[in-house]
Amino acid sequence: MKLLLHIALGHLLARKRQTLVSMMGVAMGVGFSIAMASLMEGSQRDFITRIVDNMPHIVIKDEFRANPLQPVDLLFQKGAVELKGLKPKDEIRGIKAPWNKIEALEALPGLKVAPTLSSQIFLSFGGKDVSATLLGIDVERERQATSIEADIVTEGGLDSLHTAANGLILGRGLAAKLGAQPNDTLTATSASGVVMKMKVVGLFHTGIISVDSSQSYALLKKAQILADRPNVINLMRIKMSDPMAAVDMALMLESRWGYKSESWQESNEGLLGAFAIRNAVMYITVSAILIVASFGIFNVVSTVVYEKTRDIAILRSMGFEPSDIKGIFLLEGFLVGLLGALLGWGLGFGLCQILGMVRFNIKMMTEVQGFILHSTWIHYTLSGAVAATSATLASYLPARKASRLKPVDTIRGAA
Amino acid sequence: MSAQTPAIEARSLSRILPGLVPAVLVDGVDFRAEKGELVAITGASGSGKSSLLYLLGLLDEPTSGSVIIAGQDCAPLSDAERTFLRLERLGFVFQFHFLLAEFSVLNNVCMPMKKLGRLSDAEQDAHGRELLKELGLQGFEKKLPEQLSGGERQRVAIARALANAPGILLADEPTGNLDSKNSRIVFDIFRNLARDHGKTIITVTHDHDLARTCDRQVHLADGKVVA
Ligand SMILES: Nc1ncnc2c1ncn2[C@@H]1O[C@H](COP(=O)(O)OP(=O)(O)O)[C@@H](O)[C@H]1O
Ligand SMILES: [Mg+2]
Repeated sequence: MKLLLHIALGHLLARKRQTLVSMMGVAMGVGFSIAMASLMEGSQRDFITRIVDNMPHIVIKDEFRANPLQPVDLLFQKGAVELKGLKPKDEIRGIKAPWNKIEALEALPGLKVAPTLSSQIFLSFGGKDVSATLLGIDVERERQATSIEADIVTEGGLDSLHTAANGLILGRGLAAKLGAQPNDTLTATSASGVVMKMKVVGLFHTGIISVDSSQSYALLKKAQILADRPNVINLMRIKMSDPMAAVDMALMLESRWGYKSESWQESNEGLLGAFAIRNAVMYITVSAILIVASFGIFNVVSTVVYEKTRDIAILRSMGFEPSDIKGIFLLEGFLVGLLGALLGWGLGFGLCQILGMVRFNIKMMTEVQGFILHSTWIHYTLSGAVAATSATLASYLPARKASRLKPVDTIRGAA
Repeated sequence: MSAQTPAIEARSLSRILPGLVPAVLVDGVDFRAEKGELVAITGASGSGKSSLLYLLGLLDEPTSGSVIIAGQDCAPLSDAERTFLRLERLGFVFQFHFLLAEFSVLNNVCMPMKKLGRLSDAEQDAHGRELLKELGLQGFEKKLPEQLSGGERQRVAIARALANAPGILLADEPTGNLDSKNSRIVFDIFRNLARDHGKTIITVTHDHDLARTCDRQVHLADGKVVA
């Protein structure tokens, strides 16, 4: 092995420029793949962190996944019974016996619950009508189970809800739509027709545009009065100390109480799926770069084999075996790949530093000021391993050809 | 003829290239060379000298007949075993020097020793230097082949062929690219190796004057031994 390495290095060092060019090809592939992976991973993690930090990990709603079975269905469970003109029983919406459930949830370790009455309201101010979602909350529990307080940009936090008779905290986008400022008094109208004067006591800004432009907060009691649904809670937002356990917990809660319990993973299924597609696109791009780089390596090794036919002949006649010859040229490919990968690590690291310094301001689903990068050792190891492997594979064909050359054919021709 | 086992022997050796018109390169050659013997193979161009040498050196396989090295019939051997015999028992010198351009003179000479792997790096180094010194190439160790004259390169090739101390040296027109002075030097080396070191040397040559200085001449015509 040492001998083969000795000869392989000799060949590569004798054509430094060619070797360097093919190494650069590999380095580009590795460098860009590290930078891209870092970008992808960064934005993905940022997204998930935002979701995990800002959104409830489980939401229990006063809904059921399947329509409740009708008495006739219960009676003929496997029968071909069709029901026409059914008028469902007018159920009072809301989670039944909510405070027992809250108590039960709060007894579980690592769980915080924010009970809420969520309802659609109309806000009117200065001739403008804007529809909004009103969350009636329990301040103390809200503080523990959600991060909304940190997003309140005005003085006083959630407690400012207590400073007015009917206090209201608006998303900044929503306030802008209304043209309302703190201390302005708005008119709120609910679906059941109750009208209430409410005073803007604060503004919040989460960075998630859909939330900022449509949500508002009030005390639970006031929201219940406005909606004309005393004592009703129709939403429980749960925060978990281990967000990854949300799927299992949601399943457990749903099977226990029947209410639709949605984990954050389920709510963001589409988004997580999009990440998978994005990653696939990235891997395809990176593979394409590495395939191009492999052609470079194939080229170098083929050239060396062609130029070194005489060396191969003499090595074979002095007692080197075909496998030795193959080993020499495979090693050459591997070395170009390995050194290229090391160079690529440097390039990737540098690219990440540069990308990290870029600043811009765009508004899409969330607001960002720059690239969010996150490199892990997996990116480096994986890209390096793929580069070294594909480089070795690229040199396989020329190496095999070299090992099959017959020394006599070459020696006869040389004078 | 001595009764001892010949260093190398060919028995009704033939090499026919298959084809529409099969080409007979070597045609039923019987040949033997003793330890310490310097044999010249002569013959017109195309008479089959090189082909015979490749067969003797196990670089090519005969169509029929066999090569026997130190009493061992090589016909039934596998490729790997023949390769190992070349490494251990045979040395080659060709008309072209076949030195590896990227490696120093000393590295070129040490290549077969590295492959055989019986000596430590230091021992290989010392042995390589010693061989170069014997061939009058002291001080050339670190040079690259391209910095040497034709005669010097051919002597480096001889040193490399001798690296693993083989009993048999096979040379195919080793002086074909050399002037008469350098040609004489090469043959002086061969004679010395045969007489003083007991090497069996079989060399193909065009040069009748040089051939006459050998212990024996074998003349080929149309792939057959004629004298
Ligand atoms: N691959 C081949 N195909 C056809 N004929 C060949 C081939 N190799 C050698 N020959 C022929 O075989 C004969 C012997 O060649 P060679 O052993 O090289 O002769 P020499 O070394 O005496 O000049 C020549 O006539 C040559 O043309
Ligand atoms: Mg010839």
